[in-house]
Amino acid sequence: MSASPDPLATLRGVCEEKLPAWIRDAPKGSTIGVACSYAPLELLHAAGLLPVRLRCPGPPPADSDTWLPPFTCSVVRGLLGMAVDGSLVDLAAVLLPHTCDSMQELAGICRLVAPGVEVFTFVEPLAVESPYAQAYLQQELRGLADRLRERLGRRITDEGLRESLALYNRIRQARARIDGLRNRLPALDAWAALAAAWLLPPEDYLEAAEQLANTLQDAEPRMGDRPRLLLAGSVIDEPLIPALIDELGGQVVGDDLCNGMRDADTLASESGDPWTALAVRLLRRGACPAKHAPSRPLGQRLADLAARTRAQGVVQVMVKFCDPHAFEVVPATQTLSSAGCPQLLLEVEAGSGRGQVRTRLQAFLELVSGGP
Amino acid sequence: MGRYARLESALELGRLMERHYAEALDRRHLRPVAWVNAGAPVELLRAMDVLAVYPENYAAMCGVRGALWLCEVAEGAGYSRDLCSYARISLGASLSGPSAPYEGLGRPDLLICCNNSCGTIVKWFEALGRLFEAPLFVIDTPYVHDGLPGHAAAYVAAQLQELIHWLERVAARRLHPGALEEALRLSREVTLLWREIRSYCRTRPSPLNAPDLFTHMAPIVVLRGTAEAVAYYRRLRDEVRQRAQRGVGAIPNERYRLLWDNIAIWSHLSRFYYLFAAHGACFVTDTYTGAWDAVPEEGDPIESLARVYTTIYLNRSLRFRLGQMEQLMQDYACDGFVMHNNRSCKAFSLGQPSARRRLADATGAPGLLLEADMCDTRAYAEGQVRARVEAFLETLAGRAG
Ligand code: SF4
Ligand code: SF4
Repeated sequence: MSASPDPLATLRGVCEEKLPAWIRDAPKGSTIGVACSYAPLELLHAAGLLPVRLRCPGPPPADSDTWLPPFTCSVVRGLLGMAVDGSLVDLAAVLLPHTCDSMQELAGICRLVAPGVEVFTFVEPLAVESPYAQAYLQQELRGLADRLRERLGRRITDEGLRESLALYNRIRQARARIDGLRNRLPALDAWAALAAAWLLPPEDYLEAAEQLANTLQDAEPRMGDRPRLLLAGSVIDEPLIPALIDELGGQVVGDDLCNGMRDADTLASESGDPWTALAVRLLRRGACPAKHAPSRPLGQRLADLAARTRAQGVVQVMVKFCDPHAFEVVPATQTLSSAGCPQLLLEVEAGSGRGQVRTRLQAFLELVSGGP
Repeated sequence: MGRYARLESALELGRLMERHYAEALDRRHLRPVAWVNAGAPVELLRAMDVLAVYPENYAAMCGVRGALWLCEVAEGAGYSRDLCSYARISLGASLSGPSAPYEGLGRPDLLICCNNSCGTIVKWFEALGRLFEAPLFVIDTPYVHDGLPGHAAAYVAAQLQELIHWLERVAARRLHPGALEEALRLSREVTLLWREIRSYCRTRPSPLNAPDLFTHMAPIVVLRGTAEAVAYYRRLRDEVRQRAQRGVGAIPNERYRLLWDNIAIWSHLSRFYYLFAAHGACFVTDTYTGAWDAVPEEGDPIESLARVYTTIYLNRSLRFRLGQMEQLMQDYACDGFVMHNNRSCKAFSLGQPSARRRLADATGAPGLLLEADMCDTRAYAEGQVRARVEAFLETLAGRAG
């Protein structure tokens, strides 16, 4: 794929597709779906695979209801729905990292009800600050590499892994540049420009993202004094919330989202042993609420980010039935309140209607901007 | 229907548990109190003279008494209604002090938990840690999708060594020589006794029904690794063995033998299971009380603990759990099975709809999937439950001819 004359169109376009169209044209057996930002993308890429994040904007396929209880989050329902309705046939495999209980169960359910999907699991540590987590994780990465070799015939060299680490570092830097230039972009465009990092082949994303960042750098800030919001939560797979923020006259000045900037602040070391570098990056990156990271609580991270970006309010987007976030939101809310930061909790599901979300966002924007 | 045969050991069980909870509240002793989860390697705590107290067991006891108000206290503090009701009860009770049931659970000096049951437990214990400002040690037991990889066992063993140092530092405890081996020996013995007790339910009629198993599992959870638990289960074993030998059934007129999957519905312990017993349906085996079935191996105690606690039932793949259920159905000659699709517990429940079909296909036996909750009564729709249970019992009756 060559760079589009309009990089933003490329980045936005891929976010509109349920499963990116490029997958169909990619060499057979070269794409792997991943379910979470803890997937070791560099390792997959070094194995000659093109990782793509699986997501399911819109209501989950009805098939998933046959196989999952109604109290399952829409992320897992969406993924299973795609596994059983045949949407994933063009992928060589799917990698399900170990995040929450639901994701962990998804692996077993997929293996039972969608035997045609080649499922790889990857059990990264929960206790990311344990002094023993790194040694374990390195072995787990090696184990995954062995399984990729055995089952897909893919080999990884140290050199290849080093190159992939460098590539993804550049991608994170490009994302950080876009993140820093949000005042030149509507919220919807910024969301798409960052979310597309998980959806395009890495080389293509890098080209489009760098091109966009260069253009933005030369542009004038255009968001003016619109109320400044921070977007936080597990994952935003649909344009609904950022689009509403634009429509209602707000701006997004930063995010802590699983498919946004959460993992972008930590680059991998490009010198030394690449396996160590990858493990260290995964352990040090912004921790997801599903992890036990006592020295880095979400609330503090949000309060710091709000201070740094001069946000006037934080919108915490909760996917219904997402237990790790539902727990973490309690202390995070307390920390933000103590820091005097107004906040809005929005509980959503994929495909949830816009009416209520719009009303609540509108009220919140009025609140942070000092009344209607 | 005739009388439900109560076990004589129930009286002793009551006393044992009362003593245990009184000890948790009595702060005159010098032992530090650690709140731990059911899957924590408690043998280490026994060996270091730390008193282990179980919020999960406490939550279940509250659930039996009716604990909706505690769920609501936690919800009022911001915890979503969709979260595990054990967690909500425990947090609600912790916020309520001595007005909580049984005068509450007191305060922990330390918190120790292990994610071998779920990730929820870790978030719950983190919340307890903040509430009581108590230090928390998390033991990370990697989920076992296929076999237990060597590096996972080594990771857990290293953390257990670290836990010893942590207890030395944080609680000024020492690991007494030989004490760990002794606690493991007692654990082994108690687990084998529990296994033996459960195995008598293979006889027809079964000497125990699920509510008996649920009630009498308490000591294997909270007193594992103690001589008291061994003494208690010896007594229970004798009573159950005698029932089996004399052909005394837990319910009168046993007609159908069922497997139970998932945690008990504590809030309706007698009423719900009576719906079955009244029609001669006895739950002769289950996946819940069997979760304490793993026997620590001989050999290096730390390695043995690491292996046994990483490979417990809920930390293993759906395929493994399905295989276990199939085996239990066969061993206990079950005519059907009931899966409690428990809103609280994603680890136990997410795979049930797909497992139900598989299990029914593999065994040729009918299975009922019933959505409810172990403690939150708002998720228990009385009329609907009754109708579905009756329909299921009719299916069983139809098959029996
Ligand atoms: S949204 Fe929450 S519950 Fe769902 S897969 Fe992600 S972390 Fe797990
Ligand atoms: S989620 Fe399930 S396993 Fe975890 S604490 Fe709750 S009931 Fe226990």
